[in-house]
Amino acid sequence: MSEEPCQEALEILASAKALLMGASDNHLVITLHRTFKEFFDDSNCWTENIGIMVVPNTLDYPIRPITGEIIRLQAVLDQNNVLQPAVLLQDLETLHFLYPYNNVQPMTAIVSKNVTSPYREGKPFVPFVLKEIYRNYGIGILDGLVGWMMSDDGQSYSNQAKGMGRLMRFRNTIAKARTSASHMNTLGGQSWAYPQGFRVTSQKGGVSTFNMNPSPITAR
Amino acid sequence: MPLPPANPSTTPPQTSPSYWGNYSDSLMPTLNGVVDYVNEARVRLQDQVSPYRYLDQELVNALNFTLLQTARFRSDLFVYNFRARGQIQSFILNPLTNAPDNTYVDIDPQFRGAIVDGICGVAMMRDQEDFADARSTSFLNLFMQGLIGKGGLGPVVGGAGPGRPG
Repeated sequence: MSEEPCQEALEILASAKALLMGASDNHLVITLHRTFKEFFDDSNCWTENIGIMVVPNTLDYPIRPITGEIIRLQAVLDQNNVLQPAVLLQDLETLHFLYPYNNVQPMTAIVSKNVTSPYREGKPFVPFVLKEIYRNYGIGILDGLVGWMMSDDGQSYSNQAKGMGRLMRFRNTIAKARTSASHMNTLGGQSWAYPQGFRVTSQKGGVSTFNMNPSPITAR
Repeated sequence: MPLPPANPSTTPPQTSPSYWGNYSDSLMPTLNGVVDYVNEARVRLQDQVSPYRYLDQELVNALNFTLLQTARFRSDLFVYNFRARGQIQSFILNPLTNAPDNTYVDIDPQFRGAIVDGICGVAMMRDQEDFADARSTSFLNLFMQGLIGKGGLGPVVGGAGPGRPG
């Protein structure tokens, strides 16, 4: 997968530059990275399903996404779509199961991701993000970028009032993205693990409440 | 560097083959190297005929001072360059030719004009005549406006020349 900036990313940077007189290219790229950091950290809307082959007597499994970097673990599903108790260790690259398994079986770790370092060869470089993110939330991300920039002090593009307005719109976009992600991008759909109050498996506190007769619907 | 496809609506001038090049970085030909800054400053200072009023060394020093000031007002132009560990560039004359050379001055294209204004302002600060003081101040204001100003650039001002007070 190419990590070159897509047309949508370049369009957002160009729009921001047109709105912010005197903004430098490097500062725009770094601030775009900061905007994405906040966006994905608070919305969990960039996810990846990582397949792992669980083997007996092994609790730790390294996981690595194709793009971006992992920030937290959302769930681990076995081949019957049943949630399995697991945590993500401090290095954010090791999946740790709470209990060992007796059989070899494939599982899927669903992780939240964020953007990687905005540098290439020592110079700021546009962080890679799926262009589908721009398709859904491009305007809100532009608001976040411009809002962050306008909140700077002492620059030709500084404008605290407008910056605040832009950042409020950005926070609104984050909220929408979080809701949309939890509904798996369905309009009026139910939450990803519905009904939350009646879930029969849980990872809360790392304590499994294992269901003896799980239904595949439970985890979807 | 291969040229990108020509804009079909206009014909790029043959005299400027880089006209459609990548202007976002070091390939931008306008005010690219140290010698470009010195030459442009000489035009604005009306000091293009040897022997020069402002020596090459003085103008290169003025460029260095200007970059220091630029880093104070616009640190974002420097700190993100990890290749240089965020340091401010500084230049000397080419030891072989004892003249400014083409060493790249790593400044975003939109701020290069302001740097030239800063060089002129710093260079003229040594003069004591009233018109030079006003003109130096004017250049330094242009420099500031170019970096952090909100509006358009003000006019270049100056008093009457020596012997013509007022």
